[in-house]
Parts: sequence; structure tokens; C-alpha cells
Amino acid sequence: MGVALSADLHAIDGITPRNIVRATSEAEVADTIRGANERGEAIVITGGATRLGVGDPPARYDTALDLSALRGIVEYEPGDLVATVRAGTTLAELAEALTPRGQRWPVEPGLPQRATVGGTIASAAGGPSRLRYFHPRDWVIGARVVLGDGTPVRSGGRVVKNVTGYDLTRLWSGTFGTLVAIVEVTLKLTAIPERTVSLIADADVPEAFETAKLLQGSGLPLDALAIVTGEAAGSLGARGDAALLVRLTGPAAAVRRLGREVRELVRWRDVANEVWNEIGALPLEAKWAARVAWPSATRPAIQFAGYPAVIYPGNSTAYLLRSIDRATFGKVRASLEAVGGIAVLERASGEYKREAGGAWGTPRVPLAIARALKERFDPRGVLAPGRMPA
Amino acid sequence: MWEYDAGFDRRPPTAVALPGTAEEVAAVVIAAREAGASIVPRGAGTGLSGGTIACADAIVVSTARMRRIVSIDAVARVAVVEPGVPNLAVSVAAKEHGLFFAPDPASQRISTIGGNVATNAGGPHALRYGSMTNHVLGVELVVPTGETMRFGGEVADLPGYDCVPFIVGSEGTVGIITKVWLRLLPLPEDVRTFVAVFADIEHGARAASAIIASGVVPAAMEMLDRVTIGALNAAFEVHLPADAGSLLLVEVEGLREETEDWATTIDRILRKNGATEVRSAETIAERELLWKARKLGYAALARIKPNNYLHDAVVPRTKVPDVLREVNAIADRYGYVIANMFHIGDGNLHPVLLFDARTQPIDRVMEASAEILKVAIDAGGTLSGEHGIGLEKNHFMFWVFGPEDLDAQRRARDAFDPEGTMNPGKIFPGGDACADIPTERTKRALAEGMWV
Repeated sequence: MGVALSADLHAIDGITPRNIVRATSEAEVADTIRGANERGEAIVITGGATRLGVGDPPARYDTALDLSALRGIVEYEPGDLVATVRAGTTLAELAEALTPRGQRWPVEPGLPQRATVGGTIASAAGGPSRLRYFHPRDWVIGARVVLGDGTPVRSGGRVVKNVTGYDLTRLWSGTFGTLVAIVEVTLKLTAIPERTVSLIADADVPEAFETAKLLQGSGLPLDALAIVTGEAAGSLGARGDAALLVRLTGPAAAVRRLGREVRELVRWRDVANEVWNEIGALPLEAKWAARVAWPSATRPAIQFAGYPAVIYPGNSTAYLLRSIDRATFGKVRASLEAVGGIAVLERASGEYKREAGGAWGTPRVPLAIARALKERFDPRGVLAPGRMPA
Repeated sequence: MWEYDAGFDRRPPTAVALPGTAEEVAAVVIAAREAGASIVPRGAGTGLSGGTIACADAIVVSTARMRRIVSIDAVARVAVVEPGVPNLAVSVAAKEHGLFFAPDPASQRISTIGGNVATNAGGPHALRYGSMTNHVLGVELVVPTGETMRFGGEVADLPGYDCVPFIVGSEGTVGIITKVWLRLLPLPEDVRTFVAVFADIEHGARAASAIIASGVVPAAMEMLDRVTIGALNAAFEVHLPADAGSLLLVEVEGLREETEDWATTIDRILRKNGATEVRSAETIAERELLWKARKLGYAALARIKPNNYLHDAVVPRTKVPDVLREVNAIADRYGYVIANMFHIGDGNLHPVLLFDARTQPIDRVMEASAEILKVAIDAGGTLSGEHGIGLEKNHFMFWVFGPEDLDAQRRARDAFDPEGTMNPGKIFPGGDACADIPTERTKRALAEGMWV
């Protein structure tokens, strides 16, 4: 256990914790959490700190429990397509271990050099891979965590199909370090496709949406699909108001066929596959960012022309990337929530969040259940109190 | 019919309610609560782990009458259905939109979506597509207070704790499911199905491992052993190779270019690993015949012996050959005929002990079963891959989880059902709610006695 010198990485909305604990073992995580319980202190768990500010600012913040040094591959059996890794392992480190065996964890949270596996799961990170591989939690089959009261607990296992008791592993997903500290996870892996090709097309915003809709409706197995608008499109080398991007993967013959089919719809240029890292990083590096999502039968009343955003049309999700005035944001949120959608402030000042009615908007989980979970797993409110609705 | 499911145990419920709407479900829950009665939710009763046995004088609440497909949104690829809708009906309804519902438990013509959600059901195609948990987007649940609560839905990552993956697989212990949002997938353009013949189980299992290791993920990969093949040939016109020691049924789905590429790889691996013959289904009829053989397996086995004990352990895929050898040795030692017909691609074993309950005592079958479970656990595996824990395996839970792990599971349950009125006596070991079930004492003694 060491004490880091730089507190900047751990600051949330200008609040700097008094202590920074860099844990390197599960026992140290448990000790730190138990100590906080005894002293009545509050802990915020952090990994690569790429999404540390997501959620409401914690009501109290005494200690940053930094798990980025709790890293490394614990066990990797390529024949099982399963790997167990410590939570602080970055996505890049994981890829380094898996790539030589032709395998990967098909989750793309953005900033893979910094983003950790634990943080990706804890924050239910989005990204281009959501189109084909859905939720990060679908690629996690077991976990070791420390509960808010300091108890180390194991869930799931090392097998890809498992109904032995409750699936707590997936319950931890998206809890942003407010119920447990994830210390180790067992991941389900998949093979790296034989070929991967990325294409970009210049378009105006309506054209981009229309083409995306046609691509989706074709039922073709696309690997990723995004629209990037405004100056964000320019940063990717797009020449129009919007860039439409598609990724095609599979055996070489299948990728050629997919290429032929998508070229019938619009003119594409080849683009390096790394472009998806750039897209994934945009919402993490913007000064202000909001994640909006809507039922696909509706269309969000957002004017994307001339405004920077990353849109994943296949998932009916977009990241808004330039601060809008609070009144307008309020209207956007209200209009989305009215149809069952959401508008979550992922990067904004505490003041902005407060005045907008909170980072999350209207909670959609019955609060009685959320509170009961919080009380049972973190009875003394040690883990990031106030970060999530409960 | 309300006193048993497809497992072994039986016990009559105090009463049975068949509500037709979510409101009626809530009314039943409130009435039961006022009467101090516990509740066992039930779908079609096809469960294999005693999950719907009414312990503790419970009331059975069947959702089988709630059979409406509320909506299918072809653009969003989401179906909203009531819990009593049979699994297969979802795919049938989705087909006209070019979509299908992936989980395909063997019981899919009868078993309900509500029951599939509660048990996190799988099926052969879980290899590529995953189990129910990968396809349930939202759940409406009547919790023990009688309140109707909604979790998740079409839009992903709603603000707050996402309880959907916890509710999936909770075996009726946290509430009664009254509506489900399901993910649909585009129907694949092409499907190719092969059957490969091997001299024995070992060679077949090694070929299966090699396919997984190659990076090709088949949609399904099933193994049938010699006993199963013989039973199928004797019972039905399925024309499986009579001299086979094991068969691998392999299916790939996708674009034509994908299936062609994968088929070439798979064919090469199968032959390299000792397949004496590889047959490809050339027509839909041939493909259906192969799957018919797989799906008629249990019916065929019933002709060998009147009773069977079906297991559901899962092991890491690379351990399958070793574990199968040990499992078959246990059956030999006890003198039971054993059949293996299972989801080899996932490492999800389904050894079936065949016996005649009139002459062979159940206690001894359960003892052999416990040994089989132990072998799987020792290999890094687990108790159940898709059937559930229920009443059948609850006492074995501490073979897998420590006291703190189980306590954490209890804490999650308590957040929904602090008084334990929903499906009492299930999942957790050591309880007494089901103490009057005849096999209960045997299981408990085996679980406690064999764990060294």
C-alpha cells in the first residue's frame, strides 16, 4: 500500500480527498474499507479515472481508493476463452496478453491505456462494441469484490454458463463503486476476427441518420456504427457536417461482401481502425458531456447539425459534447424522459449538475429497492455516498 | 399437477392461483401476505430442479394464463411479452419481421418466458448467443409487498442500480414476473449443420475443444454418446450411425461467406481430430432431422429405464474430456447406465443416470449424483449451467460458495424479500422450509458428509 503524490487525478468537482490509498491486494482493499467504516469516512474507488466524475459528486470524500496498481493477469486459459484479471488491469494491458493468442475482450470503453477492466464494469461503460457485443457485463462471468462493510465476497465462477445462485457479478455492473469495490474479474473472451475494416462517409446529419437506418434495417452483421457531428467530425477528418462510420469484421470473404453491400448505399473512404479509439475517447475528454438515449421508435428533439456529438444510432444513444445552457438541457432531458429516454450528465461541474436536477435525472430503479441494496451492501454509507440514486 | 415439476420431488400446495393480469397477480400477493402465506411462482412446470415445489405450505401462483405478446418492435428489435408466453411463440411471432429470440431450452415449446427468466434458461444456441440474461432487457415484477415495479426496458443503462441481471435467474425468490422486455436478433442468412462421427467420447470431446480454441464460435455444439445414439436409433427413425462412439452436432450461423469459411475450418478440425465421418445437412429437412434426434434424446432414454436423473454441471471447456471420464467411471462403479447428451461447446454437461425407481433406491442414485457434482466442482466447475438450484441442489451450494458469499446473495434477496416469503426453501442451503420433502434429508446428508 502506498500513498500517491498527485491528488489531481483523484479530485472530483474540485474536491480533493485527504488520503489516497493505492491498494495492491484484496486484503488492502478490505482493510481500507473496514477502516473507513470504523472512522465513519467516505471512500471513492478509482481505476484509470476516465469516468471518475460520472454521477453526482459524493456527499463526502475522505479517501480515494486507487485500484490502478491492483493489476495483472491472474489466470488465462486460451482453450477456455476465459481470463481472470485484477480490476486495475487496463484494457491495453489486457489486449497485450490476449492478442498473441488471437483473442480479445470485446468491450471498448475508450482510452484503453487508462481505462481499467474494473472501472469499465463498475461504470457500465458504453462504446462502439455495444452494437454487436452488447453490455460489458455480458462478458464477465465471475468477480471478487469487497462489500461496503469490508467483507470480501466471490460470485460467479470460471465457466461460461452458470446459474448456481444469484448472479451478483452482473448486479455489480453499473454501480459506480457505491455498493462494492471490484477487485478481480473473470472475463469471457472471443476470437479476434480474421479481418477488420473501417469506413467513413461524409454526409449531412439527416443523410447520416437515414443511411444508418438503412444499414441497421438491412440486418447485415455490422461490427460498429457511429455518427460523429460538428467539430468532432472534423477532428476525425470528415469533410461534411457529419461523419458516418462503420466497422466490418469477419472472415475475409464476409468482409468483402459486407463492403460491397454498404458501398451500394453511400460513398465511403477507408479509415484506420484506430478511429474507433478516437471516437470512444471523445466523450471522455470533452470538458462537458452528456449521455442521452431514447426508445428507437422516437427521435430525440436534438439539433445535431453544427453541434459536436458521438451518436451510436444502433443503440439509440448519443454523447453530447459541448456544454449547452441549463434551460436547454432541462428541456432536452424532459423531452427524452417523457418518452422513456434518459439524459445523464457524464462530465459537468457539480454546480451544473445540481442546477440541472442532478447528474442522473429521474431515477428509473424503484428507489425502495435501490436504498435496500445500498443499506445491505454498504450499511454505513462508506462507498461514494450520494453518487448514485439510493 | 401443481405438486411437482420435471424434477423428483412433490408436495401439494395449499392453494393455486391463476391470475390473468398483473393487477390480479398483485392482488394475490397482497392476499397471501395478509394470510401469512408464502408464494411459489410457477410457469409451465418444466423446471428440472424442484424450483416450483410448494414448500412451507405455500400458495402456487401460476402465470401460465398471462400469454399475451404485448408488442414486437422490429426497429428496436424488442418484444414485450407476458410471462406465460411459451418460449417458442416469441420466435414464431418475430419471424415475420426477420427476427428471432435466441434462447432455446429443450422445453421451448412448452416452457414459459417467465420461467425461462426465473431460471436464466439456456439451450444449445447459448454457445453463441448466451443464456436468457443476455436477452432480457427489462422486467416488471410484483414484489412481496404487492407493489408492481419496473426494472430496465428498451433503453439501456437507465439511471440507478440495474437489477435486471439479478432478477434473471432468481428462481422466483424475489417476486413474480408479470412482463418481460426481450431482445430479438436478425435471423441469420445461412445456417450449416454437421454431424461428425467419432470412435469414442474422448476423440469427440477433443475435437470440440479444438473448434473452440480455433476461434470459430459455432451457434451450437452438442455431443451425443453411444448410449444415447443407441437409444435414439432404437426408438425413432433418426438413422444415426450405429457404430459411433460419440457424435458431435455442430451448427454455424451467419452470412453465407462466414458459414462457408467456418464450415471449412470445422471440417478440417473434425477430421484432424479423428472424425471417421462428417455429414453435412444438405437440406432443411436433414437439418431438422438432426435436431429432432437431439431433442428426442430424453424420450428415447426413457425407453431404456423408466427413470432418469439429469445433471447440469458446467466445467471449464478444456476439462470436459477428463470430467466425462470420471463421471462415466462413477456410473460404472454404481452400476448405472449413463447417457451423455449435452452442450459440449459451453462445457455444460448433462449426464443422465438411468434407473428403475421400483427396484433401485433413489438414495443411491442421489449419492452417485453427488459424486458427479463433486468431480465437476473439483475441476473448477459449478453445480448448474441452465436448470437452476431450486430444491435439488441448494444444500450443495456451500461446495461452491463460502459463508460470506452466500450471505451476500442473501443480502441481495433481502433487498426485495426481507421476510423470505417468495419461494421459501430454494437456492440457499441449510434452511428447513422444505424439511418434509422425502429426499431432503438424503441430499443434505450427502452435501454435508461428502465435503471434505
